[in-house]
Amino acid sequence: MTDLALFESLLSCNTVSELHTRVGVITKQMGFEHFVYGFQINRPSAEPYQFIISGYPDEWWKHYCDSGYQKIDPVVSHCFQSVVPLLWEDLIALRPDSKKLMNEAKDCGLATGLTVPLRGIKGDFGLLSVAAERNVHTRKDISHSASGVQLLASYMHEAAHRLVLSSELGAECETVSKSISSQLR
Amino acid sequence: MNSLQQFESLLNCATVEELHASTTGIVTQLGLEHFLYVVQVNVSLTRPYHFIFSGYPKEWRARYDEQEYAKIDPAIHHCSKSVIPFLWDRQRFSSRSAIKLIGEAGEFGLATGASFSVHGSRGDSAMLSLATSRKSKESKGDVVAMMGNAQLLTCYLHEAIQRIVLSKGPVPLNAVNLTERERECLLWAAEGKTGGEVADILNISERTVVFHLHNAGRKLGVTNRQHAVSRAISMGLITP
Repeated sequence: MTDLALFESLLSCNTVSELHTRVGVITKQMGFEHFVYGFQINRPSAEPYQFIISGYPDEWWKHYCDSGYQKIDPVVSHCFQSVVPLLWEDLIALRPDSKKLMNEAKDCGLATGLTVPLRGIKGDFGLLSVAAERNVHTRKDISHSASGVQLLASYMHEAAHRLVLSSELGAECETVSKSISSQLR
Repeated sequence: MNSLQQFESLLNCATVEELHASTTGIVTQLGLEHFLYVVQVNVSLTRPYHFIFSGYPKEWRARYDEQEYAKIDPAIHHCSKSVIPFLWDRQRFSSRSAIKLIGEAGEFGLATGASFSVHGSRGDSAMLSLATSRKSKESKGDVVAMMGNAQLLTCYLHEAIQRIVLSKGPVPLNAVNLTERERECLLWAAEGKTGGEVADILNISERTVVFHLHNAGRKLGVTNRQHAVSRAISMGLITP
């Protein structure tokens, strides 16, 4: 099976948890134990709608959400400013709180990683991050993985879009997202 | 190609000519011959701004425009609706005009290829097509094998064009950051509300509404309320 066929198979997922599982298998094959996918859709007169599939360690993900880290995550702010991938180790000049976040991530098993910014067809923001537990990957290895992760991100977004995001503005979606987050817990 | 470094070199190009040379180098390394990058910026609802960065044969570009193939090209249609690549499979060119299009493309040296897209957050969307004159089954395999790199190239190229063309162009593509109040005022203006009505809805004075709309207009580079509303919508800053 070529990589492309593997990515295309994501489009036939019928549920979010199936997509979650398959993406997890693919990122492991690429040498990354963990991933997170996030997407947000701006809505008129309301908070942006966010859809997240977390394949991060539970402990870290809970800590991340409880601490409101999304607001200070340098990886997230990169994705708002740019459409090109970010190697975490290239982050420089971090604010102290962002530096603390990255260090805590390391302690929780996200030693090194790569983030690919995503844009929906209307320019909405999203991202796919992959992370490895140990710093066994050289910079060259991670950089080499970028093309696969980039393509995976596109297919995963398309799949997520078909499953959930296409009805993002409907009330239906709110219910779906709630049941998804409970499924994932 | 095994490193992001090569793509990163695109971001260091200072001129369009330099970028063209670097892009040509990368495309050759990917085993392909031709590229075409087109970006559309919706600065206006009726007349979007286009920038074309071409490594296609001139004769084919002329033929394509003359036949108005853009109107029926399945690759363009796909890229406006999806973020995944579009492989130029014969069966995806199914209408009579699309069959003619892909047949002629082959005659002009674009036999096998794929198209990629990236949609920016400021009303800009871009498409990159890559092609080779080789027709064999293996050449299709080669195209499939380079798709990840091609998608990366699309993103880097878009970022580079953003830096050296769009941010200096005639369009206000420099980040337009509307405040929440400016956005709200525009949104209600888009709903057809008068200044007084917007003031009532937001519980602020009419003078303040005018102030916010004035500032939004200045940021958007327009001088009247209707134009501010339409530009904000076309740039995706407010969603109707």
